[in-house]
Amino acid sequence: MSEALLIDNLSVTFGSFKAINELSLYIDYGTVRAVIGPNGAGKTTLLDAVTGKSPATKGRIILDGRTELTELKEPEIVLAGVGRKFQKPSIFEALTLEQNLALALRSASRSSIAEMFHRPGSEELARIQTVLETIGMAGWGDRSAGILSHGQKQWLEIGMLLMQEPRVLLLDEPVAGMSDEETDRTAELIMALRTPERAIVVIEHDMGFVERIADRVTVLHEGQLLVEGQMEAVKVNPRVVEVYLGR
Amino acid sequence: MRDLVSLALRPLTQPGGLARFWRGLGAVTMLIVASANPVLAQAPVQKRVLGELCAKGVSNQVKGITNLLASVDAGQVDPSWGVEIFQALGDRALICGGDTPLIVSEDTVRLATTLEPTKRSPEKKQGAFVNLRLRSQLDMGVAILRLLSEPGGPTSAADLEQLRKRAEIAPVALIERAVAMPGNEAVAEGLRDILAVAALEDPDPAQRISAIKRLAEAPSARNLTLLLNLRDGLSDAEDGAIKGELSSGINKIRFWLEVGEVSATIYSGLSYASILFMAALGLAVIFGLMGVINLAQGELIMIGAYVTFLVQEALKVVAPGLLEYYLLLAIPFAFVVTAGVGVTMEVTVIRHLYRRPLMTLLATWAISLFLINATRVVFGTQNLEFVVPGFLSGGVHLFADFIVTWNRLFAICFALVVLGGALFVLRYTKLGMFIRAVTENRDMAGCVGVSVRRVDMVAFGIGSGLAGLAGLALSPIYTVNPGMGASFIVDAFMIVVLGGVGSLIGTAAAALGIGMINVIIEPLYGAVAAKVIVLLMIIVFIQFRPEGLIAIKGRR
Amino acid sequence: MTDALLFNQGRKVPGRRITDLLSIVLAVVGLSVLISGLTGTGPSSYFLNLIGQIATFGMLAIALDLIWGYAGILSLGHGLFFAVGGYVIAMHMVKVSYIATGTPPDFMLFMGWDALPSYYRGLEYSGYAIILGVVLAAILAFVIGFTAFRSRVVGVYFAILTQAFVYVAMLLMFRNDTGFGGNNGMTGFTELFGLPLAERKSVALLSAVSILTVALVLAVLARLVTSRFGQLLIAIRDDEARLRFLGHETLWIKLAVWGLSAVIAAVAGMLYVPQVGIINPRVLAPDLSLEIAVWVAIGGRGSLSGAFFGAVLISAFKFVLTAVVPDLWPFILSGLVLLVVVLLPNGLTDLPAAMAARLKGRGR
Repeated sequence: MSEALLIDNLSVTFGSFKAINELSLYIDYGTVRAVIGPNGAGKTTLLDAVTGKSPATKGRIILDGRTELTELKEPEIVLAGVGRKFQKPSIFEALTLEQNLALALRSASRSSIAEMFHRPGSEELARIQTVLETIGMAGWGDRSAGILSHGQKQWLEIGMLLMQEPRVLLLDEPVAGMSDEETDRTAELIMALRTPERAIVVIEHDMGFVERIADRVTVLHEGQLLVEGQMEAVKVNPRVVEVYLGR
Repeated sequence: MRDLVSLALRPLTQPGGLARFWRGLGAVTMLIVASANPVLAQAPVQKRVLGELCAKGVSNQVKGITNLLASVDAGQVDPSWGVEIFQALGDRALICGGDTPLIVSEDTVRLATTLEPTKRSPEKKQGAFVNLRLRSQLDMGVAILRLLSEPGGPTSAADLEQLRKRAEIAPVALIERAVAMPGNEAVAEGLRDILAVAALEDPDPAQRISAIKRLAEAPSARNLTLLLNLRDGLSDAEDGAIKGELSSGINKIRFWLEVGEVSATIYSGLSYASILFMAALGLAVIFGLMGVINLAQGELIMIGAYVTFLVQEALKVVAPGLLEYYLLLAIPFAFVVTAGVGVTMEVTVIRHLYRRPLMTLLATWAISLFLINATRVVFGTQNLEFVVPGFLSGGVHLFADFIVTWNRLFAICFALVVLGGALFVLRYTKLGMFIRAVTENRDMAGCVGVSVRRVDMVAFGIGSGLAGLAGLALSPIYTVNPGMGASFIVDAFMIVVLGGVGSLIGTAAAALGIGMINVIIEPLYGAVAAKVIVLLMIIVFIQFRPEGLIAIKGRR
Repeated sequence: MTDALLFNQGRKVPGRRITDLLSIVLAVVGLSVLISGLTGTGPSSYFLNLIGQIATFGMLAIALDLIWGYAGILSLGHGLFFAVGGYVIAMHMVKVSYIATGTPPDFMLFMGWDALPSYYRGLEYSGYAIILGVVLAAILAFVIGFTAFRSRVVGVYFAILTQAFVYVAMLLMFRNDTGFGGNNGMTGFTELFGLPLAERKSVALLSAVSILTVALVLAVLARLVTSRFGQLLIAIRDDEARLRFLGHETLWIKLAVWGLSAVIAAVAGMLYVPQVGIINPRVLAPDLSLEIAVWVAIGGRGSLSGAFFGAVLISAFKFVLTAVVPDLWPFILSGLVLLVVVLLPNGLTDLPAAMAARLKGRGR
């Protein structure tokens, strides 16, 4: 199994504030990595750096062993195979579910101009239906996305990311604000998304959820790597406990 | 006795003797008459001078003036007499003609030679016409003679100025005398400067060099012209030392004149920037806080100016003695009234458009339309007349044609006070802390218990009040009418865009930059070009730094 | 972005039906005007001219609604593109007149010019003039859009920037030595496309062309905004970041719609100036550009027909009221804007829904 994502000595600085401080880690294909840590540890900033939302001050981010992400713009990073789900469900409420998913059909092979007038072909339409099924909303295709519940919006967003068949899937607090039932369903969804060609990174605070889905756990603190390993070991690590419960 | 008479009469009996007798008789008669008439006997100089002054032709008259001055120098004539004569000639009160010139005033007639009253009546009503060349000679003459006759007198400063203006024709010897006279210390320095100008033409090279040096010490456009003229007039054979001194003198003056010009530009830019700053400050605070661009800001400035006007009018009626201070007395009124208008705006309209910045833009535009027309209806469309208080007119001359005018200084100081006050409130008061909190993270601030709505209302009031103060500060400088807001609003917007959101220092820096650029470009290319260039520069700037000069980093 | 949340509240993409209906109605009206002109019967020349002018305002409002209601880009400087079209067509008419009479127009004679400047070359050809107007507007839009969108200048900042642009353009046009008429502008046009402008037939023709063009534009745009392109626009309006993170380079989409909007506005200007008979820098006043946004806001943002209605309504009001109670008009306008902005977030198209909600509330 090769590395899907390699982060090498990454630093992200805002003014005088070091959000991420010489962080190195790697994520293998076919795994689900949970990134946890107290607030302000730099988790979201890490995702921002990978997706190009925040510029990296120092260091490298290498996708699939060959693409240097720090040099690309956000849409380019997406087309290279990185999908990101935001903390707040970001979908297009004025459009239908199908239209939402169709917009996610951006292909690197089409130019921007062609993209503006592109109509989904039959193959793409089929893919839309498949994804609708995967996220558990088959048959809802022509409903307006604005009427979905909070949890359903999260799933739709994940569905939109799936349209791209991403190599790296970054999920920022996917179960925030969800009911227990919805959390279960999300866990199932994520497990179903594991493939040998994909790496999934999940930021979460719900430890039960993390335990369920994560293969490995990375703990960040103040922009640096604190501990990394299996959930059981990380859970009882004294430094982790100290950092979470405060000094 | 018969022998004596025959002895006396003997010459008469000789040939030609009779002629000799009559000549002798004539001389004796003249002596008797002369001794009976003291004036003619004692005033030969005055008479001669008056004769020239009464002569036909300006050149003769000028010669007369020169001779009069020379005779003063020689001690033959009293300077105060010369003053009277010159003044009379200038007032056309010196009547020539007849056997002796007379000076005529309203109720008396005097002899010009002795200044004593006489019963004679003048031949004409008015003296000869005085042309410009003669006038300047006379003014010069009066000035120098007064300095000699009344050293340290009340007119010395004015006399010095007159002499300065006429330095080229001023009599060197008399000026040297005036310098030396005790009592003339106050004007001595100025007189020496005048001597230097005269000394430029002195045949002695050493004198010329010291004169050039002296002029170079007092840089002004006028002295530069003098030195340049001198240089152009020099022949090649002239003394190398003089040429060298001239060059360095000219360069020195040019340098200081440039410094003066740059200073004047900076000063002008500072004052414009001060006004822009005050106009933009309220806008920046409100925008930083609520994301509201208040298109009615220009009208709030206008209201501030109108309130100032009303205070002025009220003082005229109620307390005319305090009229001079209307600007200062109006400060609280301008602030409170405009703050009130702002709070009303916030409570009735803006509050309901929470989180809809584009709609607030339209709403504030509608309010501005309303305010402009309401003012038109109440006050009419004409420009308002403002009294310029005494303490704001004029200025102090610093160096090389650079004058620090008081009204601009007032604007600058006012802006600095406002900046200082705003910084203080923001950093050291509770209200300031709330404002900063809400600006940085509105939701979070609300969650920790800050009454966001109240902060909005108060901050909007303060922002509006600041605009009112801007209106007050610029009422003595700019035209005030209902539509005046529009000319400031574009610049104020640009400052907010450039200065970044939520930073007081950014706003000040942006105001400074835009004010300076405007002032520098306007005299070169015109006001339109200045606006265009400023806009282009801002656009280019935003390319590289979209968040403005100084952005507050905060989680959106 | 949060404007959008309030705006949408579960509404679907506005359907085409009302807009198509409006297109048909306008086409019918346009044809009637044409017939009226050709046969010499019907309303007065004055009335036909008036509705023709109002139609061009409607087109201008539609242009703004395209970028504001659908892409979420508020421009407060659309008068700029309107003016580009207007000035170019004015130059064309001036050139034609010059060729016919041999003398330059008055405003050039005042400056002592006895011939037209070089940039008037070729403008006697109406085809060239129209193309030039469109191309200039597109270039201007590209320059402004590229510099702004690339630096991610959006929202209120962008709106202010457009105000600044139109203000500067106004200042530039006030200069009297540019050959564009200075602060008096250009007037005294006599003919267009060989039609004497004073005749009723020409007036009717121009009016009909304006109305039919609006009908066409509406029909085309209605299809555009319900196509994928339209969905991209809506996505940009509601969550541009999300669209970028789906791999779309939004810069080009924004530039495309911005350019299209500018071109439509320029065409509106080209139709307006011959009908009103004058163009001067007043058309570039920042206030007027802001009023276009008011038309759209009042009529209904995000539904092309709503924007058209808003423009027609306010223009008609303005026309009637400034004749009857001229001093009162600014107060009426500001009051109307405040009322609509506060109570009806989506303009008057919200009115039926708002009233229905009120009635429902009372029923309980």
